[in-house]
Amino acid sequence: MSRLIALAAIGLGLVGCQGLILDPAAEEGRSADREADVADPLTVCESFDVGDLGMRRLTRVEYDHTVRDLLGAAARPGTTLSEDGSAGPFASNSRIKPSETVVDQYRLAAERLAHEVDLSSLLSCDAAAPSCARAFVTRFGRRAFRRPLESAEIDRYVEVFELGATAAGASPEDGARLVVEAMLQSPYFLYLVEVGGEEGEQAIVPLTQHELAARLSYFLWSSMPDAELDAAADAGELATLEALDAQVERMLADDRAADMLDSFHRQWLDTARLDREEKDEALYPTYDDALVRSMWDETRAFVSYVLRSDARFETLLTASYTLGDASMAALYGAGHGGGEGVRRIELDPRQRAGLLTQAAFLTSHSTSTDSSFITRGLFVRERLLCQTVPDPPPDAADNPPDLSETDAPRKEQWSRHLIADECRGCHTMIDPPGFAFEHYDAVGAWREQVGGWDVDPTGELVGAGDADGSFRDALELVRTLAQSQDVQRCYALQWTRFGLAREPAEQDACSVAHVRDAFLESGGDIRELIKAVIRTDAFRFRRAAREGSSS
Amino acid sequence: MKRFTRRRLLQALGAGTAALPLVPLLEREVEAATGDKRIIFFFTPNGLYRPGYDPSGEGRSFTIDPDRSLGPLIPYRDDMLVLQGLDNEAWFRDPHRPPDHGFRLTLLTGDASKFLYVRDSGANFNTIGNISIDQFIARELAAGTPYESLLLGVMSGGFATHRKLFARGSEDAVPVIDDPRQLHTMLFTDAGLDLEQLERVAARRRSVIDVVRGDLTAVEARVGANDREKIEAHLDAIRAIELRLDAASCAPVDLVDANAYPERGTLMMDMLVAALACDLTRVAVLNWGSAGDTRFPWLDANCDWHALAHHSRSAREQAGWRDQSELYAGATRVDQWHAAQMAYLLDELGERGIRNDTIVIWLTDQGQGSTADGVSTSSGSHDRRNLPVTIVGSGGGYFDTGRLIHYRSRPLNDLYVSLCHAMGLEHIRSFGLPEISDGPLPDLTG
Repeated sequence: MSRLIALAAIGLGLVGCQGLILDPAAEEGRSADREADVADPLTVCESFDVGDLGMRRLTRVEYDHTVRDLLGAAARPGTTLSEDGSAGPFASNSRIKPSETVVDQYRLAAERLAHEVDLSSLLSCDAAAPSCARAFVTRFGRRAFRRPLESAEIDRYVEVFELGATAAGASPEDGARLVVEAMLQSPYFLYLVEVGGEEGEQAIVPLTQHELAARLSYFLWSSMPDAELDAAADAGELATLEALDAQVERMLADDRAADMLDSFHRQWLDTARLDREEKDEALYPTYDDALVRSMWDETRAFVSYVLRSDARFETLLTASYTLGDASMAALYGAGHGGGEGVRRIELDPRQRAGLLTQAAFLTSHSTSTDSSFITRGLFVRERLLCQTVPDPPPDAADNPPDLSETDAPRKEQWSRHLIADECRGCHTMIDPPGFAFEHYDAVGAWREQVGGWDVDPTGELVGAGDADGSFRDALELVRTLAQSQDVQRCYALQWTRFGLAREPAEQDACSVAHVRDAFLESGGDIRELIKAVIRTDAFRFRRAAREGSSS
Repeated sequence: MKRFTRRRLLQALGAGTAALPLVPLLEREVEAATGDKRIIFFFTPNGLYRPGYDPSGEGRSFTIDPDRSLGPLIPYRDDMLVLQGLDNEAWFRDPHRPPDHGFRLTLLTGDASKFLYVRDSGANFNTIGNISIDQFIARELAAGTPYESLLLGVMSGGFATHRKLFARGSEDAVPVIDDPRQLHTMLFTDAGLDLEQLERVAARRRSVIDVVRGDLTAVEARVGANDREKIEAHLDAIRAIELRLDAASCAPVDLVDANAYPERGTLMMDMLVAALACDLTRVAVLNWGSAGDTRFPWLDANCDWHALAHHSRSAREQAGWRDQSELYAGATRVDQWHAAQMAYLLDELGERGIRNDTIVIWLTDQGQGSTADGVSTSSGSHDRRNLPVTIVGSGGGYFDTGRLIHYRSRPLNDLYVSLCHAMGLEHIRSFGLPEISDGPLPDLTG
């Protein structure tokens, strides 16, 4: 447990909210000793070491993408699988154990996929021919297990083929189907199994070329390697950092990388929850499934566009343009030029700047009836600054009070509610960056007034490292955040989590530091950031099994 | 208990093809035998609106007003126990007492939650860490049914903690099956196949399991301790699936489109009853709705369940109610509608002749959704004491039913021990935190 708490101290560390506003002098002292005060295990890079990644099971999205690439399957069986675990904001099954339910779901999905698969593209020989079983198992197994099979494994799956082909009423092709059914349930398919290579005396061992190829493709594409990556792994061509960089360049240019960028930002911004976010129809009559899709498409297209242009983090947070369809242009009160598709939209720079002023983020950080300054403020603290805000005290009301009175501006109404010191401590941290976004309603549209009072987006950020200071409005706040090294460190840490699909451990200190430094040195270049994650020891090495358990 | 497996059926028939025309009829041979005890945990979130629920009177003379929440269950009054004064005591004792809706993490375990994850957002800081009563009973019963338990949900997505009610003692919650299509495939996938076809399917599956098990074992030998736990869990799951291969299929329920909450509820209940009737399991959970965002437009209560439970202004505004009394009436309609679902479930169990062997217990996670009057602008917090408990079924005469019993603040743990006893697990003396569990509830038995 202590290690997990220590991990929470990544970046700017735990926000000890209590007493902050009660004693400003003490808070000043705290900030000054922050470095000394919160021992950050991930800043101490002393020796070559990596944490225990753990065998990671495919997530639902990875499962879908993998069967698409492996079988050409159009079905999306991932939606029938139980929920994934998480690493920070990101889906990851590196920690959780499989439930009986999910294993049964794998079985049902495998039976269905094997039954429906178009064998013509997978079976290059006549299934009835004597050598075909072995050829099929070798070839299909190579792709399903993401490595060449050992000869004993081939023998065992050939037996499965023969059993399937010779059962009463079966055809020779049924042998191939049974192999597909079985391989889709094998741990070598369902997990990224990393046990290869000679362990010897070393506590840290390099991944095999095939293991590395799988980590690459599941990071950059959420799917299995393609033929070119397979070939590179077979030829041992992923052994140098330069060769890795070249693969990353190639893979980032592929459409599948757009899925990955979308997936990262969708999870980081927590916009996926829009699929079941209802809004009050009377207040937001234009809000429907189609608008939600447009919001998602906007963020996806925008992120992808930025990566192809200057790839800078600052652009992501401050651009005064976006890419959207006509409904998004209408929501922003901007021109679109008509037509169906997504196109570049120039926005009013006095109203909009980057991702945090886009509808997908603003809408998902709102309630069904109004904006939510608390969830917006928490996002700044937790996901932009990587701070850990303690849970509210047990007896806190878990619904924010209604602030729809019109006798006073909302901020003032709210401060009346925050009487208890135990509330004010944290809310002084959370609320100001949230109130900065009050110009945007529950679907992200601009408004001048709330409850008959002019919006007051001014405020001051405290306890946020180099982002501290007062701001006039959300635009100024966002610009400050975009330039903050603390925010950039946090963004780098989020990518490290995402790339490794787990929480970095103490042993990953050097890897975390490497990613952070590379990102800062590049001037906030996201492509360099992605490459840096892949260049880390944590990405390319693993702990030997006998060392493996560090709980 | 009599169980007919396909294999035994085949043996009984001499496995000859001549017997095959009989087969479709024999599907129904796997009826649950009378005398085998079953239990269904009927769970709704957000507490109940108590003035609309609490019956009047006490003991045997309690009466249910037909217009109030329990009205639909009046036909079952004499087979019912209404229990008051039971507390989620474990939450109060939890050293990592989870805030907010975290009290669900201690609700069914009667034990402390676990403090596990780095909190990034939402409720992942604490998690359920012990075995929940449903899983405990299933494990202790060891009935040898194809499914040790079935956990079904009716659109129960939503708050993460809402789904983390059920666990087997590790930190990973047992998933609830929300998707009717998936449940249908699980339960009835082989329905309509004749015995010979079924044998062939089972043989295929057996060969797949053999080779998968071989791969798992090979991996297990080469990984560290953390990963070995995952492989062990995977192997356990494979073993459970293998045991099911010999189970006969049940007569299927029609898989109708059910995208609205009421229809979905009916479909899940129909499948549940079918599964119990052909003895696929003895322990089930029916997890109703999403605590956060289920709405009830057909009850003139078109507002978030959570906001409704808080009696909040936002609920009034969403539903278009003029005042608080309209809100309370709406909350009562929602509770009453769920009572009607429980009545339907009981009726259906009766149709299949297994109602008398089945305990249906309606549990919710709070005393009342709000401790506040709802008139002020601030909404109250959820109440973790005096949870309403409604049981129908005597557990083969274990409970002395037809009574309302008011306890003076007893932990839910006592109720859970009583449930164990009612299910024939008389050796269980305590459940959950030992300091608050020393036996069953008093005055319950006949």
